[in-house]
Formats: sequence, structure tokens, C-alpha cells
Amino acid sequence: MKNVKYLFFGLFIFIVIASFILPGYFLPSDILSTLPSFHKEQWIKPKNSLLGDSVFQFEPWRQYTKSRLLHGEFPLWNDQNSKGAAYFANMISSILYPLNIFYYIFPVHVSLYLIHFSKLFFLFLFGFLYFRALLCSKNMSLIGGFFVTFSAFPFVWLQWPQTNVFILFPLLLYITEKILQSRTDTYRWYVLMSIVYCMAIFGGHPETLFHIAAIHFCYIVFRLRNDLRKLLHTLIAITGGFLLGAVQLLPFIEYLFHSYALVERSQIQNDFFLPLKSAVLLVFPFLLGAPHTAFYRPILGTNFQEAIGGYVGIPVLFLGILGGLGFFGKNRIITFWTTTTVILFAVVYKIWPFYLLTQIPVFSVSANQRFTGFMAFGIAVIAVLTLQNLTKEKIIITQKTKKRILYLLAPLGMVLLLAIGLLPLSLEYPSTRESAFIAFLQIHLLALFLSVVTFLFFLWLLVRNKKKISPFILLIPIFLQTVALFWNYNPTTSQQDYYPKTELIRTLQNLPKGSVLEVGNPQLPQNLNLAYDLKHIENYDVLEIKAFKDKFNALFPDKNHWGKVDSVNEKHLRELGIAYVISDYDLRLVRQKIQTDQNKRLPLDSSETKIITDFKPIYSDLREVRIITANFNRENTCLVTISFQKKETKERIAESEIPCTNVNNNMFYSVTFKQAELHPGEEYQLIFQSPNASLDNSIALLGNSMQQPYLELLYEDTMNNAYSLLWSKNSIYLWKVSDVSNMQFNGKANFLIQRPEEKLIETSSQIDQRLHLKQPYYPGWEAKVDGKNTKLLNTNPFVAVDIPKGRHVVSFSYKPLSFYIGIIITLISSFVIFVYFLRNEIKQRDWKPTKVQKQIPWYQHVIVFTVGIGLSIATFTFLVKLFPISFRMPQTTAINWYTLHLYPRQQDYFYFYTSVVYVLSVTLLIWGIWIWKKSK
Amino acid sequence: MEKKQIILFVTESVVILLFLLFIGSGLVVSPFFGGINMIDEGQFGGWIAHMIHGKHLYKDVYAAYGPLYIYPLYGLSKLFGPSVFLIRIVYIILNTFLAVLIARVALRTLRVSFGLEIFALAMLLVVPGFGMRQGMGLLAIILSFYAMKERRLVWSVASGVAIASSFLVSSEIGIFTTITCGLLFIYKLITDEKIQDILRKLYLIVLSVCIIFLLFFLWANGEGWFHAYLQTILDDFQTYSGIALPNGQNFPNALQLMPQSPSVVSWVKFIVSQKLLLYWLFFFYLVTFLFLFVRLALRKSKQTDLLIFLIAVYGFFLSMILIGRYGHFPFTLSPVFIIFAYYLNTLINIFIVSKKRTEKFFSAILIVIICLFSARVISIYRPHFSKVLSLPQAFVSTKNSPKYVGNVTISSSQTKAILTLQNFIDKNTKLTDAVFFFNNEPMMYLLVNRDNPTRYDLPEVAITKEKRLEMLNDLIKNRTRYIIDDTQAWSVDNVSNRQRLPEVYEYMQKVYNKRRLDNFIIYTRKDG
Repeated sequence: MKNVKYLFFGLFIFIVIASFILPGYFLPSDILSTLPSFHKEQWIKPKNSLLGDSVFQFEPWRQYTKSRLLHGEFPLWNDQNSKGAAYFANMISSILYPLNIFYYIFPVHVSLYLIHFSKLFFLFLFGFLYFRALLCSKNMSLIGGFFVTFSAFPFVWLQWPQTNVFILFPLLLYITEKILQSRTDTYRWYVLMSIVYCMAIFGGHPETLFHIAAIHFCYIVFRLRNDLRKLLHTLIAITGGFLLGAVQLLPFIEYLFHSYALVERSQIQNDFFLPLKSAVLLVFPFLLGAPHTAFYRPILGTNFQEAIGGYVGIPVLFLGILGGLGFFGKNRIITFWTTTTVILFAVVYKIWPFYLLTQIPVFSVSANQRFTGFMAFGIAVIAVLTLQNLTKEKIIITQKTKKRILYLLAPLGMVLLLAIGLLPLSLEYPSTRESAFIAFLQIHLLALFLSVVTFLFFLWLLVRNKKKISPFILLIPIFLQTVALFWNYNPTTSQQDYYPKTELIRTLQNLPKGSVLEVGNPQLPQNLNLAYDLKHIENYDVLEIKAFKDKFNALFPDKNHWGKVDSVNEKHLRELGIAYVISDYDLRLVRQKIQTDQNKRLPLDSSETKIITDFKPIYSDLREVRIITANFNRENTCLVTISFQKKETKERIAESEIPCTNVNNNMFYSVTFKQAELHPGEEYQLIFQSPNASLDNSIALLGNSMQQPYLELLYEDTMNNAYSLLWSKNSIYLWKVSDVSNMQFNGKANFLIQRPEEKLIETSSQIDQRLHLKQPYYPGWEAKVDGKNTKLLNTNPFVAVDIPKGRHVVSFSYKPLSFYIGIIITLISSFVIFVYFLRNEIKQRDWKPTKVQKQIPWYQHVIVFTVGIGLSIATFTFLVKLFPISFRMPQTTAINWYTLHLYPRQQDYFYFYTSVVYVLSVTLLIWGIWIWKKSK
Repeated sequence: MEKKQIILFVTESVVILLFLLFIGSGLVVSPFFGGINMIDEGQFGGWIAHMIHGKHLYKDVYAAYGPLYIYPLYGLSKLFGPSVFLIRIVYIILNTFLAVLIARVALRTLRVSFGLEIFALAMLLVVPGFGMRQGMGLLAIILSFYAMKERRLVWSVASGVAIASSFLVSSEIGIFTTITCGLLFIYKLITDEKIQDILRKLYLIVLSVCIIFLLFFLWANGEGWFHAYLQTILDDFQTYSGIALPNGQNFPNALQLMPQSPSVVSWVKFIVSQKLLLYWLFFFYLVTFLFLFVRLALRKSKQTDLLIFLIAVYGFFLSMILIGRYGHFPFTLSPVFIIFAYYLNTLINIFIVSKKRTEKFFSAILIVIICLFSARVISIYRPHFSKVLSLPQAFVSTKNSPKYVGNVTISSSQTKAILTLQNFIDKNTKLTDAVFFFNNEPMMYLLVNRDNPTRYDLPEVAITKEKRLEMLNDLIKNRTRYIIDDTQAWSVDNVSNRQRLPEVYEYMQKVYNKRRLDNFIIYTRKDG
């Protein structure tokens, strides 16, 4: 592999072309079908139900960012969720991350492929560079790049911002090695170090950034401990990186202390570890099934994504262990990574005393279980260095070593035994789901075993015939253990599954804009609303402003197992300015909770099975029965009947039924009864049964260990007219709350401008007044009355201003000081780094133009420039004609030529700047090519 | 430069300056002759009138210009009494002085011949666009160039003072100047071997800027208008960079202006049309950047290239004003004339010295292009040029101007209008009464010597609803007795103030009675 740069270049070109050609969307948006509101007639199991965050949050955020940027607005604030919250300051929005630029430029389906494939590509490239810096051969470095890239962590977190940051880790290690090795051009590596840290900040995952910084700091100290000057300069370069990223970092820090993030984190400290038993997945990843296969149960107290992060494939793990134990030579890098990996393992799996490290501040509120990715990286490094030693150096394998290797291979034999031993079990239950799982497990284990054996065989061949056999042969079994296993982990979906517009969504979009609250089931989870340009009263858990969240929790304390509000009253809805409610039951009814435990599944898997509950009604006119259903990723066509009877006489009173196709997993379902007159105080029985259920075609109810289902009864309340029903279908209701306003003012008040970062309100009143605006109080917001600063009052959680009598214009605008100070720090540090770099670069290089270039007569340059300018103007004009852009008229209260002629002025700026940059670039490019040809 | 050369240079400059002042320059209009420009000259008149009445700039009067632009005139008005003549003569002297100073120093530094110096100076003065704003920016750039070039630290102090002053003349120009000088400092920091010298000079520059701003802060804060000044600056940035700017139209679209017919005449007309000159201007800057890039890349650059680069960058920034306000074309031209003189000097030398025909041919073509552009610009502003020729007659003619006009001959119709209004105001109001002029004619406040009940002398500046309601509330609060609407007044961008200020106009219709007085409509408050 001589021309590696061509390989990487070709690979990138391939990725770009593939992104344009590949069909569908690289986003598991079919997950939406698990929500009752996105229910399909023909339900198909989502390809990977664990990737919800990318669908519910990351993609809607990207869409929101793109939409705002294309309107010429920088999205500092998001007013679509929780009545407003800082948006740019939320690092996860990663607006400035370079790979996200693809999203702003290219069509969505192209950019989704491009962003995620590029992540893997850069991880591969940076891994390769790091191994090269460790003096591995090109082939071995490529293999190392493969180990690093195709381990589990980058795959399972590919759609998360964690990998935005994680892919930069090997690059930082590479730069560190280069700093160690370089003599004359160290300044370049310092500058690059700063830039990479800045990119890591823009990557949008502070936790991973913290993890990287912690491990990288140890690495720097370890590698540069003998050269204190370089060590100091490297630390300064890292500080420079943080200063470069100040524009993102400062607003984030401000946000952190005003948001719910720290509160929430401090409440769940014990969740930041993995149970030790889940370490078995590092060897047998599909032992509990996998979310992208037909089988998966998260029964080890953690989910697949968290637990699998350290998986690198058995051969790599095996090599890593051998190398770590010093079987085939030791060096300092191996020692460092062995120590680091062991410590990380102890931290991740909470092994005493190492886990005490996580009691240190910052560690105590960060997700330490995600150190698994770094652990896997360490194993991969040790494995590659071991392979390098095995294939390059003359290693004599002694009898003792052979024995030890055999001991280590013993577990593999056990795997085989296990695989064979499970066979009779699968024969015993030929038609059940369990036997299918056992068959799946057998294939999995056998595949693992065979690929390990193949790997060992290839390794043996390689060690014996170093020069004849290509080391790339080793990648075949590795491929089977990693890429093949995770092949469809990040699935693609069709265009119709990419944020489909359901009937509910269309109804909401046709209504005047107002905040939506979900009651009961998740129907339009927070942030998903951004994909449909709708407003939601909640925000991604950690993003909410603390005061708002506290108020929300105080007004709506009744939460269900989804973390959703379960009951509401109109006063509180109005207080928060909630205009619409989506619920799974009729809000106008009075509720009676009969049994609320839901820790056991009560299956209805045969026609004989009956679930009976006794109850005493408190009102007479029963309208709905609310239960929780379990329909676990299955297609079921059964029918469930629900009937009432008097307990004593067994007289049947009413009956209703649910088609199983209508119910979702763990969701509430409200069954409607049209005529069910009960006598309060008398005893009744409620009976659930399914006449056509079988083991393969059944659902379950959630209930308690006494076989009583979760049960609520809802009765008619003729007095309640606070809600008007806008739409209803399949136990989903959309309500309008009456008399809701985002403003409170005893006079005339109307919005002139409503942009996320600016609200302009015209008011008129006969007396001095206070204007209340339902927008959270947050640093950076300021108010003006007729252009003059006025005090913004904090009414916790919202804002208000005092307005004198008469006619006025009140403006609320978001101008965060943290952002502007951040920009200044970023600009100053960029300037210093730029000057530092160029000064050194000029000192370093003494470039002189060739004689030919000096001899070119000046008018030839004129001719080339004339051609260049002419050509660039012609092509620019052509492009402008070919891709006309429609600019939106900005919101303004100004009356001038532009507003009277509806001329969006930003288009002049856009065409001016783009044309100047384009003409200069193209002309200089043409001139550059011409001069290059001349000098040849 | 030797001492003798410096004396000669200064003597020449003084002679040129005196000559220009004697004939009167075409910078604005003649100080002795020509109708009053109620808007451009008028705003200075209005501001001075209010300041003399005890009001503070920015706090009580909205002004888009910097304090250093207005306060010298205010001082002289206190001394000599305010008049249109004073406004004209002060700015003509200042502008002509700056033009001579800049053109001569810049072109002497660039080693341009005396003839071409005169060419540049003539262009600067004939085209009515060179003022204190443009001049202060160029001066700061030239001084910064010298500060970096010369060893004496006094240049650094001068540079710092000039940069700070450019800010105080106009915040917009201050930003352009700071960025341009910033580029120079960055370049020096990167390339200069003696970085400590550069840092020392930079320190002095920054220190000088800080001292000037500190002095300004002490003064402005002492008078209580510093905060209002800052607010106005920020407001200006937002206003003029966004869509809510008071005056301006779209940048002419060359594709739409292109003739449909293939006729050569229509194409020539199109190419030399006034609107396409905007494109030509940007084209010249583009060519300058390319030219300098080639020299830098081929290691042929000289120290003077840096000055050309700085002037071009400044000119480019200045030209960006045209996006939205292309009517301000003449105000952006001054840097390009200095660059032209430099190009012409180089090209004429090549044309004379070179023996190669191709070289002669290309230099001739480029000379012709520059001359054609200059000639076309002059032809656009020929009325100003011809006014200068009428100067001797105006100088000796008998003046019978209304109050506050001074020694300026204006048209009889304008005289009549002013007198009518002055009589009306004198008869019906006291000196302490405020009168509101609904049109963009701020000079009227000086001519009738009355205050404005609002902050806006140019009502069109109250562009947003916030400002319009502020204006309305001030009118209500002050119970303004008279509002005057000049039916002959010019509507900026063909958008009248009745359209621009609907809330105020509606209020006028509701609360006031109206009657006609010659060309004016007098709105009188119904309840007295």
C-alpha cells in the first residue's frame, strides 16, 4: 500500500458519490411508528428502536438550524419549545460543527449519508495517522484504522454528537506524537492542536469533550514528561483551543447553570455505571439479542447501546489481552494503554477502588459508562502494536507462551460447547419465539467461534510467512465480528417514513400556532415538533430553563411512566399558555383510579385467559376505561373484549372491544363505552378476554402481581366545558384550551414582530400597566419601551415590563452577553494563533518564484485575469439563473422603499458577497493553474 | 524627505489650497451661490439651531453623524452666529484642506507625478462626494502606514489620534478605518522581523486611541449624552445593515438592465450607464486586489503596494454603502481616484519607456479605460462643475437673503418661501415654542429659529414603529401647536412622509385643523 493518500482521497470521493446515489434517508425515522399518533394500518417493526434520540432530537434540531440559517438568522434562541430556551448555547445543537455544514448546503437525504459516513471516514483516517505516528507500517496502520473505526462505539453512537467529538481523539493523539517527534515545525502541531480542540467544542458533546480532555491530558503528560517545554506549550495550545471555542463555550456554561441539566444529572448519579455482569457483552455482543435484529431484551439493567460500547471483536480483544500481558514484547505505549484500559474498565463497571475517581467533581455528573469507547480504543491500539510486533519482529514463541495462549483460548471452546448444547433446546420448542431466539443465538455464537478460529489460523499463517501473506487477510474474520454484526444497526428509511405528516400533524399545522402539551401517551414528543414547525410546551429534558421546568413540575405534578403529564386542569394550562392538548383519554371526564401498579405483564394469549378486576364506581355514567397495553414489537391481529358485569348477579351491563392492531407497547389505551349506567357503591367486575388470541398473536395488559391490570374509569362530567375537541381517532384526542394567551395586558396589545430572538408588541392603554409575556426569564433578554431601555421583570418563570399609559411599542430582544464576549475571545485568539502561525511559517519557508514566473510580461497577467473575470462572471450569472433562490421578506415595522416594494434586502448582500468571493476565487484559480503550467 | 523638499511640498500645497478656496470648489455648492439643500446642508442647520437652544446632540436630537463632525461647526456658530453661509464655508474649507492634504501626501508617497496629483485632486473636488468622513478615514490610513514605516513614534501617536477621530466623525467610517488599519497591523505583525518595534508602535496607537476616547467620554458624559451617543451608534448599525433603513433602494440588477436588442448603441449606452458605473467601481477594486496579489505571489511587491492595498480595502468598504444606497455613489469614489492616479502614472511610464508594441498597446487600453470612467463621472456631475464658473458673478452680486441664510445668493422662489414661513412663525409663536416640520427639511428649524418637539429633524429617520410612536408621543406630550407640511418638498425614494409616518399623519388629521399658506400646509392644533 504505497499511495495511501490516493486510497483515502478515493475513499472520500466514493463516500460523496455514494451519498448522492444511495436511496432513502440515513435516519431511523421509522421509529415514529411506535407512537400512537404515527400509527400505521400495516404496522412494521422499526428497524432499530434504540435510536430514538436521533429522530426525536438531533434531526429536528438540524432542520431547525438549517431553516433559520437559510432565512438569514443565526439561531440563538428557540421559541418553539417550552415557551423559549437558549438554542445555540445548547452545545448539542452543534451549529458550528464543520460536518454539519453539509446539512446546510446539500439536500437532507444526501447530507445524512455524508455526515455519518464522513465521521467514520475521518475516524479511520485519524486512526491510521495515529498508528503511523507510532511507527507502525502503513498496512498495520490501515488495519489499526479499521479496528478503531469498526468497533462498536462509533457504530452505536454514530448518530449522536458523541461521535462528532470522539472521532477527533486519535487526531489529538497523532498531534501529540508529532509534537514529540518534531524539531523545527512544532508550531504547526500546536496550532492544529488548538483547532482540533475548538472543533471538539463545536462537536457538541461536552461530556465526551471532557472524557477526551481527561485521557488526552494523561497521554500528554506520559509522552512529553521528558520535555517540559513541549509539555507546557502543548497545554497552552489546548488552552488556545478552548479560547477559540469560547463563542460556543461561554454561552454553554451560562446555560448549564440556568438549565435543568445539572439538577437532573445530580439526581441520577448512580446511573453513570454499567453492571459488571453486562461485561459479558464485550465478548458475546448478541447474547441478549440486539435492537436491530428480531430479538432484544435489555435484561441486564442497561440498554444495548451503553453496554456494547467496549466491544471490538473477540480477535482484537484477544490480541489486546495478549499484548497487554506482554506476550509479544512490551513498549511504553502498550503499557500506557493497558493501564488506561484497565482503569477505564474499573471505572465503567464500578469496581472498587477505581470508581472512586468518579466521585471527583465533574466526573460525578458525567456519564462515565461511555468511557467504554476509549477502553475499546485502547484495546485496539494494544492489538495493533501486538500485531505489528508479531509480524515485523522475530518473535520466538516458547512452550510457556503457547500454554498461556491455550488457557486464554479455553473460553472459546466453551462457546462452542454452549452453541452445541443449546441445540436440543431449540428442537424442543420448534415453533415458539424462544426456540427461534435460541437458534439465533446458536448461529451467533457459532459465527463468533468460527471467525475467531479463522482469525487465529490466518494469524498463524501470517506469523510463519510474514512476507508472503498480506496482513489484510486478518480483516476478513474481524469484518464478520464487527461490520457484519452491526451492518444494519443504523438503518435507512424510505422517504414516506421521513417525518410523515399524519392526520394529527396536519390538523395542528392548520390551527393558529400555540404550544402543545401531551397528556398520557407520547404522541408528539418534545423537539419532534421542530420537524413540523409546531410549538411544544416541553423541551428535551436537560434543555429547559430551570425556573420554567420547576414551574411546569409544580403545575403538573402527576407524571406517568413515560415521564409525561397524566392529568391537567385548565387553570394551570392557561397559566403556562398552553393552547392545545393531545391526550389519550377524554379530558372532560372525571377519573377514578382503580389500580395503578404496572410492574407485571398480564398476557391475553389464549381464548381461555380472562383478566378480571373488581371495582366500586363513584359515579354512574361510565364513558371510558383506561388501561396500559403491551404489544412488544409484534404484529397482532387479535381482538380484545372488555365487559362489565355486576359482581353478585353476573348480569352483563356493557361491552366494548379493541383490535390489537390499534394498541402499542406500554401505551395507555382508552376504551369507549357508549351506554354503561352504573350504581355508585355497588360492586362490579371488569373482564378482559381475547376470543382469538394465541401465543403468537396476543397482547398483554400491564398490571400488578395480583393479576389486576392498571385501570382507570372515566365518567361523564356535564360541567366541564373548558376544552373543545378539535380532532379524535383511535384513543387520541386533540383539545383546544379556551382563553389562552401568551400575553397578559389590561389594554390593547398585539404582536408586530414575533421572531425567536425578538418580540415587538404594540400596546395602548389609558393607565400605566404591566405587560406579562409568557416567555422564560433568561440572561441576555432585555426590554425596551419605544426604543428606550426599561427594566425586564422576572415573574418566575416568565417576564414582564411596566408600561406607561398611551400608545407604545415594547420590544423584547435576546442579546446574550456570553455570546458576544465569546465572539470577542474567539476572534482575539484566532488572530493571535493566525499571527503566530504565519510568522513561524514565513520564517520556516523561503519560497522564491521561479525565473519563468518572473519573466512573464505583465500584460499576459492582464489577459489571464480578463479571461478569468469574464469566465467567472459568465458562470456566476449562469448559476444564478439556474438556481434561483427565493429570499423571505424579513419581519419589520419599518416603512420604506423596501417594505413598500416587498424587496428582501438581504438578497443584495448575498449576491454581492458571493459574487465577489466567486469571481476572486475562480480568477485566482485560473491564474494559479496558468502560472503552474508556465513554471513547468 | 529632506527639509527643503518638505518646505517646497508644504508651500505648493498651501498655494493650491488657497487657489481652490479662492475659486471656490465644487465640493458641495458654492459658499456664495446656489439654492439651499434643505436635507444635506439642512440637517447641520437644524442640529446647530437646537444645540444653540440648549439641546444636546443624540440625547435630544437624533443625529447619524459623529460629534466631531458637528461640534466644530457648533462652536463657530456660537462665535459668528448660525447661518447657511457659515455651514457652507466651514465645510468647504475643511474638505478642501483634507483633499489637498490627502491627495498630495498619498500620491507623493506613491511617487506619482505632479500632473497626476493635480488630476486626482481635481477629481476629488469636482465630484461632489469628498467630505470629512471620507477624508478622515484616508488620513488615518496614511498616518498608520507612516507609523509602521517610519521609526519615529510620533507617527504612531498621530495614527491613533486619527483612528479615534475617524470614529468620532462617523462611526461607520471609524469601523472601516479600524478594519483597514487592523489589516496593516496584522500584516506587519506577521512579516516584520522586529516584532518588538511593531508591538511598541501598536501599543502607542492603542494608547492614543484610548486617550482620545477617554477625553471624549469625560466630555460627553459630563454633558450627559454619552449613553445616548452609544445607543445611537448601535441603532445606526442595526438600521443601516438591515432592511429598516430610512433611505435606499435595491442595488441595480445588471441582468435586468441589459439591453434586449443587439444594437451597438444600446450596448454602449448600457456599459457607460450611470447604474453600471457601480459595477465598474467594484471591478476596479477587484482588479487592484488581483494586481497586488500577483505582485505578492511573485515577490515583486514594493512597500508602496501596501498603501495602495490599504486605500483599495478602504474604498471597497466604502463602496459597500452602495448596497442599498446606490445614490451615494459619489461619496464612495475618492479612494478610487487616488488609485487611478497611481495606475495612470505607472501605465504612462510604461507607454513612454517600453519598446514592445504589445506592452504599449495594453497600457494604452488601460489608460483609455481609466480616462473614460473618469470622464463619464465628470459628465454626470457637470452641473456642479458649471456652477463654479458662475462664481465670480455670485461673488460680486448684492445679497438680499432672508434671516439665517447669510452671504449666499439663493433663488427668488426659495427666498419667498423662507420669508413667508419666517413671517408666519414670528407672528404666531414665541421663541420658546416648538414647531414640527413634517417633511425632511431640517434647515427650516434654523431658518425659523424654533425647536423641534421631537428628536427627529429628518422625520424619515423615525423608520420603525417604535420611533414613529416615540415621535407621536413627543408631539402629544409637547402639545405642538403647529405642524408644517411643505407640499413642494422632495420625497426620498418617492416615498412621502405621509406614507412613512402613518401614525403621525393620522394624528395630524384628527387633532389639527389645516390651512394653506403658499406651498405650505399649516396644521394648527384644534384645541389651541
